[in-house]
Amino acid sequence: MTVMSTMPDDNRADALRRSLIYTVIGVSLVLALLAPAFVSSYRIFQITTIIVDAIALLGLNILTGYNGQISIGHSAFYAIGAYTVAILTVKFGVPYWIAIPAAGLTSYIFGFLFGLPALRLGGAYLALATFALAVATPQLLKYKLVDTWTGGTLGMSVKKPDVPAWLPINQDQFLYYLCLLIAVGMFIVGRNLVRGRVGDAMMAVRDQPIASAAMGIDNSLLKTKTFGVSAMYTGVAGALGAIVAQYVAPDSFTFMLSISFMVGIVIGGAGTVSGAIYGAIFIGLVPDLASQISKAVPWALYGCCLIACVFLMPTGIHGVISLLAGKILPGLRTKQ
Amino acid sequence: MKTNKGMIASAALLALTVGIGPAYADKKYDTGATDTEIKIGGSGPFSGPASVAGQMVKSVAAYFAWINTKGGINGRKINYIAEDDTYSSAKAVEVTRKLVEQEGVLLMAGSIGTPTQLAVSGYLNDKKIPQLFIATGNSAFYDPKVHPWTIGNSVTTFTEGVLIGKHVGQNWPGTKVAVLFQNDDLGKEYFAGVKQGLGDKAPIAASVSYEVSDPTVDSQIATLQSSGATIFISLSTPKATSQAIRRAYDTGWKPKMIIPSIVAQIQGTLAPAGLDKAVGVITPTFIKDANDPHWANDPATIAFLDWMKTYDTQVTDTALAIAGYDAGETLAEILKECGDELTHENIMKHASNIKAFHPSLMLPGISVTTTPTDYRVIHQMQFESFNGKNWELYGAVVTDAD
Repeated sequence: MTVMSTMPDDNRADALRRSLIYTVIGVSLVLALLAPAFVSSYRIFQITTIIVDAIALLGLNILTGYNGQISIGHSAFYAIGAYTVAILTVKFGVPYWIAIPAAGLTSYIFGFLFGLPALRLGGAYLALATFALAVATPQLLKYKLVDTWTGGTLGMSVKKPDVPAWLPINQDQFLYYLCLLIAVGMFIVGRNLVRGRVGDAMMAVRDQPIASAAMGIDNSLLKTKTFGVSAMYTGVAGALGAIVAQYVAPDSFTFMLSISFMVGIVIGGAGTVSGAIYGAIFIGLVPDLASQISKAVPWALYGCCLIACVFLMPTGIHGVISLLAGKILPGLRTKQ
Repeated sequence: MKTNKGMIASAALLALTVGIGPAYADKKYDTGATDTEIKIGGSGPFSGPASVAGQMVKSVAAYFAWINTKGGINGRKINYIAEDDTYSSAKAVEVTRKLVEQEGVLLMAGSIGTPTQLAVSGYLNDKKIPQLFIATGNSAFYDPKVHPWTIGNSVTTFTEGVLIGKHVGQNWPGTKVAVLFQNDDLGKEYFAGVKQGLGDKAPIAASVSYEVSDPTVDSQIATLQSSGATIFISLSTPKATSQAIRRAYDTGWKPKMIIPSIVAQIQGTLAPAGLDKAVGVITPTFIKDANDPHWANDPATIAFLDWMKTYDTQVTDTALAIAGYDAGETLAEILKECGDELTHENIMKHASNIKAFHPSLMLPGISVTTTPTDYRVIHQMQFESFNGKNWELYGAVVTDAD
């Protein structure tokens, strides 16, 4: 095949692929908007949790998937977001529309500051540094000097936002739409970020750090900023998570939370935007399913499920879905 | 299940017209109760670092499994569904909502975890779902004004403090008392209780606090010793308690020492201090220790140990098994009293009007009592002193009512 003859083919396939993706996204959004009318309050709560996790996973995916930095300390940024919103709304009566962005900003600042020294470390050493953050956070939240703010070991309750009087929906449904709206916004921003020049730079730093430096990219500044952005996403998720759970307590933000985020991005598809959604569905539903199947060994089942996923879907759920789509409609196969 | 109101009404009318006594009470059910089943939910950590505590919830489940083999309660089987909350409050909210909204439980009971249960008490109270017999002494679970649908299953920290204070005042009036307390809600609540219990019977010569993070309490012990007190109340958690016992002995102070019930484990707290150094330590209690040879011939203890061997097979910690068994027993009693009116409201009505119910493992002379304005289930404790091997009960039951 000559270059000349493939061009129009590729364009057509591209256009088809894009229109199909937009259709899928459009249909999913319509379904998501209509969901509260059809499913129970508990399911709405569950879907809201998955949406919140998806935001956190996107944050971690930007860092790990696109920028190649491994963090097992994202539970700390999730906690910072959660506590920011809790303290601002409970202790200061700040409205939610200020508290949630404030939580994102606080997490960004913490992420950036933590990133400054830590990102000089690479690979396993960075992972260890972030691990330290994850194990220190629950204890710091209980610490004497801050416990009047954080509520110490017992934590504190967070109120759900009131539904505006003109909306004929209940609090759970309102919270669902709020999280959905924020998630859609953050996914659009995230997608544009990783598909644009910044995303190319992130991947260049991941794959060819020397070449990227030679091209004029300030590797460590970019890595630090990426860490900040990643922390911000996770912080916003933490803020929403705190509102959804209506409670913050130190023991909700243990190292296990970081690990489940890590599981989520790997299973969903590292280095993909939609992978964050698949990953959130996985970490939201599979542990629950496992404990329904067996009360005695739920974690062993979960482990088997993970191993099966890693072997059968090495590129994550995202990889399998694009593979299947390519098999069914060969014209859609991603050009390489 | 819906009751056919029309049929029952006509049956009642018939009964009245033919004059065969009062009509049968109308069966009334909220979601979770039927003619054949009562669904109850519970949550605790079954995995993760705090998973040992989950044994209490497993014991509640085992208790009801046993009750079901004996025919259930008023002919209804108990379907007790226990979920793993991993000691995370976010997860606790999730599993509690699942139990209430998906499984449709009639009530939540027998859970463990102070922060996790606090996290769900707002939700359960908003929904008016009873949250009963949680294993915690935190006063927030015994306050009908704040959480009218929540009742714990232990002695409150404050009440225990009061009883310790009263015991000292009654037995050693006028003796100087030294107090060590953990500088947090728990320690302060204990101390407030002790002060009230002591009143003006005995003077507090010195009181010092310590932080959970303090490596030792040596300097605090030195301060307390120099006050000249001969009674030492240590309102502390296990590590600091062990250290305090050892230090107070090693310095030659050797005061009469009192520790709270939550740390009175021989292996966990006294052994690290040295059992010989712990001889004479006093603690209050309200429940029979099944491992204590003192109760070896007690029928209730024998029945409990049999049950533990046959039904509570996943559980290794006897104290947690006792807590679960005890919560199950009290709950079973309330459900029995509720009869055929298994509504949230009626359950709360009975749970807040318990009149001197005596669960089989409670010490003789101690019983469970609640009123709609006072949810504190336990008002009495008896003191026991350590003889180097076991706890030995002594004296009369102390009660907080004057």
